[in-house]
Amino acid sequence: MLDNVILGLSEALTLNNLYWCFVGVFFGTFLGALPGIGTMVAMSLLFPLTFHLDPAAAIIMLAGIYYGTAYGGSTASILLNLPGTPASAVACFDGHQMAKQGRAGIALMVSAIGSFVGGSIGIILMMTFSPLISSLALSFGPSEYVALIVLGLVAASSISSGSPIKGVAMIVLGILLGLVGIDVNSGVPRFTFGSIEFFDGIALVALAMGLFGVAEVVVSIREAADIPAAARRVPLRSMVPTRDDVSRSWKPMLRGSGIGAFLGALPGTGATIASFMSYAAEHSLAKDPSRFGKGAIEGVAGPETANNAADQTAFIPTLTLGIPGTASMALILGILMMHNITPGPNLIVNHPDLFWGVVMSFWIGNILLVILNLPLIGIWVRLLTVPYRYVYPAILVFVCVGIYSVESKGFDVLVVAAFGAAGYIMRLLGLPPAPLLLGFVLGPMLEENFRRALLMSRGDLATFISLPISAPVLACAGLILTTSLVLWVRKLNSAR
Amino acid sequence: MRYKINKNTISGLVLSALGLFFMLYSMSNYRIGTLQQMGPGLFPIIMGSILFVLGMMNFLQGLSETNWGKMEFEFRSFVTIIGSIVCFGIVVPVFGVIPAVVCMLLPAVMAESRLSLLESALIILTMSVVVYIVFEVLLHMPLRLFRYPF
Repeated sequence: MLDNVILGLSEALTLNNLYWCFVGVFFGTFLGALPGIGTMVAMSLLFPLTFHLDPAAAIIMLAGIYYGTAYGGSTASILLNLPGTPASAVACFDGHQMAKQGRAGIALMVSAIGSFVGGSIGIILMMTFSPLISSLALSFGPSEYVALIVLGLVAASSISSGSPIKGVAMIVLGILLGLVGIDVNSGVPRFTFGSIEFFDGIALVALAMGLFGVAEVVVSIREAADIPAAARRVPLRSMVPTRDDVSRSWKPMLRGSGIGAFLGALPGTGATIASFMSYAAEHSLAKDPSRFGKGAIEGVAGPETANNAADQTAFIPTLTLGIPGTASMALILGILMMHNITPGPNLIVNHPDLFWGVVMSFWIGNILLVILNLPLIGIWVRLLTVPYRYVYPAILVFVCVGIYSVESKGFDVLVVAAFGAAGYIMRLLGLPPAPLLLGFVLGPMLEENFRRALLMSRGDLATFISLPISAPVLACAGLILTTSLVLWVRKLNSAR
Repeated sequence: MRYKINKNTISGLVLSALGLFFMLYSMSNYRIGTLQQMGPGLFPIIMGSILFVLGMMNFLQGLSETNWGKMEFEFRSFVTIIGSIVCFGIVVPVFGVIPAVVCMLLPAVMAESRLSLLESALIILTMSVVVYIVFEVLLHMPLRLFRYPF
């Protein structure tokens, strides 16, 4: 373990990686504070940069954006009662009440410390369990992999709030789009319609920028209302918590870490669910539940810790198994694939410097975030009130120039436009874009393992229901799907 | 019989059509092979048929719904924003990045009625300068900022 920590630190502390870590968390906080830019938009905006970096720096930077936006999101919740990210929506309940009572500084402080505690515990768990999980997964054959990918995809698409049918359909559509390009096994170009441009497949960046960046702009322009410029000043002095605040906060933080770390590592449940679960837990454990919703510090400390713990442990399945649970993690996996690194259990063995360097950079990133967030809070608060009409032209320009900078092809820009249009229509029809991206990234992996499994079993489909791993994993996937279908049908009936 | 148009009937039909397309296109163009030796066509056929079935389920759900559901197509935002990206894609190979940025922002600023003419002009000017500074000065990206096609 110690060797790994040293190896990781020696990688993470190189000037180059430190620089990109800073760039990631800085722009994560910056973009996260601007209205109308969520985690996925921020990540896809800076994604083109990663083409020009080595894989470790690329992941370090993109991961920095990922958890940087999470830190920034709660500031908007607390000060303006506007959730910056879905995962920080819970901070509105009590955090904004605290702000109204003049305790905004303390709420921000508790949120930042909670985020740091949650992040740290998440990283420690990641350092402990990742080697174990990946050594276990090394013995997995292709049929086990098929089962795991199916479980991951089913869980990620059906646990979300909407219709499980639409979620799974989006996964399947994503898988089909992922097949576009030359089939590695037969050399046959599939669904390219004679166009050479599609031989390498659809570019992940173009898909993500269109579905998330451009479609989001079309939706937000009419919705974005001006935020009243109530740029409160939050001096550092007001951030010092009282002894009572501290004694009320540390237990919710620990419980939040546990809840968040557990849910973050599972497919389908991420930071958002973790923060709501943590809030519910604190509410039911409180001696006086009536304080909640009126500025209870426990209602800020718990959820704010939980969502950051979940954000960190989400990396565990992504980096140890190669199976991302969320759209952001699919982008991280996409970087590995672009640099021809096969994601999966071999990653830790074959690229220990990459893996441990990335993990140790999370520590640095989390520390940087605390430093960036508390003293500079005034700047971020001012950013929150920038009208969206000045933000969206910049988003569009950076989307276009960014995608063009990858290969200098006008065609790629047109692909972004096509996916932007598709993404807007999907939103109108209630079709979630995140499962599509997950399916798109995992589709080729699923087909490859499916093919290999059947080759090894000589065409016997029973290989997918073999013990001890495939059968229970697939049963699990079936159980999750049926449960969410039943719950959904019940909800539909009660709504009628 | 009353025709039902709502989110679920439309999305159901679109998804089924896409599924059917992938299925039939693979059947007629790619070798299917056997389960042991899968051809390039087998996997898309399986996925296409799953998508078809899911789309039909979605469609049937829509038929059973009584309320129409709210659907507001923001025509102005849609055309201006998507159009601006298309503009960039068409202009950039011919004239280079900076002219393309200007061309794309012209429709983009029309998406928001609250932007005045002066503000729009300022946005276009600022973004051109920002792109020059970020991509040329800071990142040294090998981009052709200007191109002369003549």
